[in-house]
Amino acid sequence: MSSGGSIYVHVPFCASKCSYCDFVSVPLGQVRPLAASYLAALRTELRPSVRLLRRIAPIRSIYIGGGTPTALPASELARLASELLTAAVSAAAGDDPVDIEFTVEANPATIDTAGLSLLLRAGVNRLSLGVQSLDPAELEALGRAHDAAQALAAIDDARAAGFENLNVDLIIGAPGQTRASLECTLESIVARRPDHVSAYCLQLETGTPLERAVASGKVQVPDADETADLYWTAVRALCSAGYRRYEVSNFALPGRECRHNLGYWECGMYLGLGAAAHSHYPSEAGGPARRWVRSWNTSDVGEYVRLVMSGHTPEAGREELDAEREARDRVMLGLRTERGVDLAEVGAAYGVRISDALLPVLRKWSLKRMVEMEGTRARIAPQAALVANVVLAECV
Amino acid sequence: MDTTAIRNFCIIAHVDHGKSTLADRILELTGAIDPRAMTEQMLDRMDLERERGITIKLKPVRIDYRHTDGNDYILNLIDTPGHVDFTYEVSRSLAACEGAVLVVDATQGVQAQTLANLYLAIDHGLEIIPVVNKVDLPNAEPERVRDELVDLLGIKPDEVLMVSAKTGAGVDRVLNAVVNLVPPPSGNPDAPLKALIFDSHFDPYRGVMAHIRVFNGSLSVGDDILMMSSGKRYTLTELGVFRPDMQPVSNLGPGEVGYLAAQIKELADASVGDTVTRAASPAREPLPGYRPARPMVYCGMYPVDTAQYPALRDALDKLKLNDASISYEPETSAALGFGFRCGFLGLLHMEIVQERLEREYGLELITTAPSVVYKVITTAQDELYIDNPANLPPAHKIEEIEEPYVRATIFVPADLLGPVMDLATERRGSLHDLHFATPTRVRATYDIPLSEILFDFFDKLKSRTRGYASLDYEFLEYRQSDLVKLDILVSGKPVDALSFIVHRSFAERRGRALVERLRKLIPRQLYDVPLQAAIGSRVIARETIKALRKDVLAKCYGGDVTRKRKLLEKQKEGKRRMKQFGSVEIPQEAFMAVLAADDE
Repeated sequence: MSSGGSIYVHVPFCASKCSYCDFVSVPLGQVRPLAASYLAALRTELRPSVRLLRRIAPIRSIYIGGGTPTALPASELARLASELLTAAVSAAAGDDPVDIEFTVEANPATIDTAGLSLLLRAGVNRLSLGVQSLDPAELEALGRAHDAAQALAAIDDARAAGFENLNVDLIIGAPGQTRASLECTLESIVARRPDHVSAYCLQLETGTPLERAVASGKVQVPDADETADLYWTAVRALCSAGYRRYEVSNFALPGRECRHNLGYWECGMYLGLGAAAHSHYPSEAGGPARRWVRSWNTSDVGEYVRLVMSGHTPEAGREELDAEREARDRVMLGLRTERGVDLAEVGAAYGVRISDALLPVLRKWSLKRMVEMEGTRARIAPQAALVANVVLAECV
Repeated sequence: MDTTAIRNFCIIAHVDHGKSTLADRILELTGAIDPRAMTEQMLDRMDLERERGITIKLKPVRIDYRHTDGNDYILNLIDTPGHVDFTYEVSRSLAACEGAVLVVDATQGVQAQTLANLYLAIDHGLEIIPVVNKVDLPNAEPERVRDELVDLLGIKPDEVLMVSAKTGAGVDRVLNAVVNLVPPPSGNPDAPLKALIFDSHFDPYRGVMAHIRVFNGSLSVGDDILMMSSGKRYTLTELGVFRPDMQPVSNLGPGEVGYLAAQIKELADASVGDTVTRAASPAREPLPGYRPARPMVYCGMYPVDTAQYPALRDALDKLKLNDASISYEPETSAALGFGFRCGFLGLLHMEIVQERLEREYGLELITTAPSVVYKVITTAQDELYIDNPANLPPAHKIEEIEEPYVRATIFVPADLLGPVMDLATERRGSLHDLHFATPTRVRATYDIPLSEILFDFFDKLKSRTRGYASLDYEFLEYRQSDLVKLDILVSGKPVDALSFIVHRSFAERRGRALVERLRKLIPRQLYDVPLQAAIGSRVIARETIKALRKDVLAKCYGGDVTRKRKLLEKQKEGKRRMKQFGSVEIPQEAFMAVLAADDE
């Protein structure tokens, strides 16, 4: 049921911490000695995972995310990349190594042409740039370490270095963002034709500096309604520039959909390495007893290194899902993609009668134009993308 | 049995003044209970009662007591409920006694229920033994409180007993007073049987166990008896006394307190206040004061999950076995589906039943706002009693509406009288009487609509008087009022369970306040939802719940699907607890929002 697996590697270091981020990352300046042992731990965690890689092979995408992977020394990062690629390729002998989408996330403040070339040579073929905004005030409020000029230069540098597949991350609903400022950002970005744009709505996570600033009234962010307006502004601008929205927040030029990203939404299998990384893979047992595992590593970077280097598993938790739950996840995730999900196919693939329960639910919503259906294939209607939870909550 | 050795008495007090603790101490001191088996507040059996520190049901105890004079006595201690909802039950308990120990908290002094209970006791001709309790507390003012009692009762200071039920200090003097001051019951063993049912409970094997006090004549197992108000006849299968566990005896004579069992199926057939007599030679007149249990407050109770309807019915059936004052009838609401219209003695009674249904029977309920019973005279001159606002006939068919008034007694320090008077006036109360109990404490009596008391009156009273005011009330009469039904329309359609009846002068303000509250309580839907408050076809307030624009989890951080699924499951669970009305989801809290304050 999966056309291949993925590898995700988490690099929990950043040059500096952004004000809205609650993801696991630590400013590199404080922990430079830790970075070396962290890389060692990643390698140690990878070694015994090769068996697992075989179970989810062929590997079709690798993604090094963060944090800011490019906060690491370029040579170290490139070495890690080529090791990952070797592991991926050797997991399924005979497969064409060229057909692996290999993404590295980068912050415009931490890249240079030489480093980018190293990555390319190590097999990385896709770069994801965290631009977020081109408005100086918004970048400042977000606590980004780069300015607009640096961000645009990074796009140019990536192209110049030879990256043919380029993503730009943008934030919808940044502090002070208006329709005009967003349109302005989009205009400059679109003019540079990145292959892919991810536009995520800002989420105020508890405990982040931004959340506290908003709570205390020092900073204003667009409310839910304004954010919705901004989102649709972005959708209009990107779609009229030739991008397709293939998932709620993801836009791509034709053929440039992110394979790794789609893997998540299509309930694909993946091995997660590093602190706070998640994995998803089938258990060894086959037949009706088959289970799927979702597990996650400790999010404490120091603890991760200690556990791995002392021969223990860094796994902090796991759940095992039976075919019914796995199939429901498949539907819940797939509904938000442009392609949607075919209930009959899912039912057959997992050997469960998922349609009995979900088809009536989805039909009900299709009458309300929240869902589009074609036979047994369903997807969230494009105009309902931003209220998808209303439907998805009934599918879990 | 020699009635001169019997003392029937009760303890009366305001809530939390230490009645149950004193009862516990008396049981301990007389050896009626093994101290090792003693739990705090022995007489309050239900967990809820213990949690809330209030007594709901009456439990008599028979105590054998050897007095300091060397004689043996039988003391029957009849505990009484301490809340305004249960005034009738209190009065029946008092009718079974000759004396009452009046307990007043030394830190608080005389309060509204102290007075309400005291007047009831005096009405029943009881000997009053005044006690100041909690004299050991650092903030106690025993002398001041004693003076209040001296003024109130016209007695000498040394007649007031100073006690700490907690430490036991002075409790022996209370026992002395009970033996020496409470008169023994009078009664003629040869006269026709008259026994008062002052409480009852249900036993799954023996049927209804009626708690009785014999006044005249005597009862033996095998006697044929007659319930004078219901006219039902039974053969006695068991007689007994409470020690405090039930202990069978072969007969009960004048002055005695105990129980009877006669395979009585329903509490209503042995209702509190009824008189038991002998079927063959009945008494000519029943004992005075009987009144059928009359619910004062009604609300709709609906299972959140419609499949729980049969379970709710079974649970109500079971609760009714031990609480004859609950009434319930099947009811259907367009908004809430199948449920029951339930009647209660008062708000506390309602809350207790609701809590027991949820806690003991595991039911999830939606409760509609409580309503009083309105009396409607139609243009066709029919008299209707309306306990559900949704059933009020249309305005043009109503000649007149009457609503129940209560007489509310409010006890308050004199310097806080102003806010109390303001509140009572705001709530359509009219002053009946103002009396300085002491130079610093006032008793104000108001005639006020019961519906206004339901409308968070007590909370308001407490907050405006920093907790110093106390409230008691009793039903007065039905009075004509200028009342209108306020309908709440969601997406243009009236939601029956949100309708309420309100005085015309408040309609606009409360309507506006309610739709505004509902706007915040009802989650945003996929399109704009207009909310309106209307009297008949006239809309008096309007709000719009703006359409939901954004409800999506964007990023799948590092492939964390588990978190995503959990958030969606939480959302699903939240939805499950809402009622679908048309295509609008209305949460449970919305149905109680009618009751919230409109002025703050």
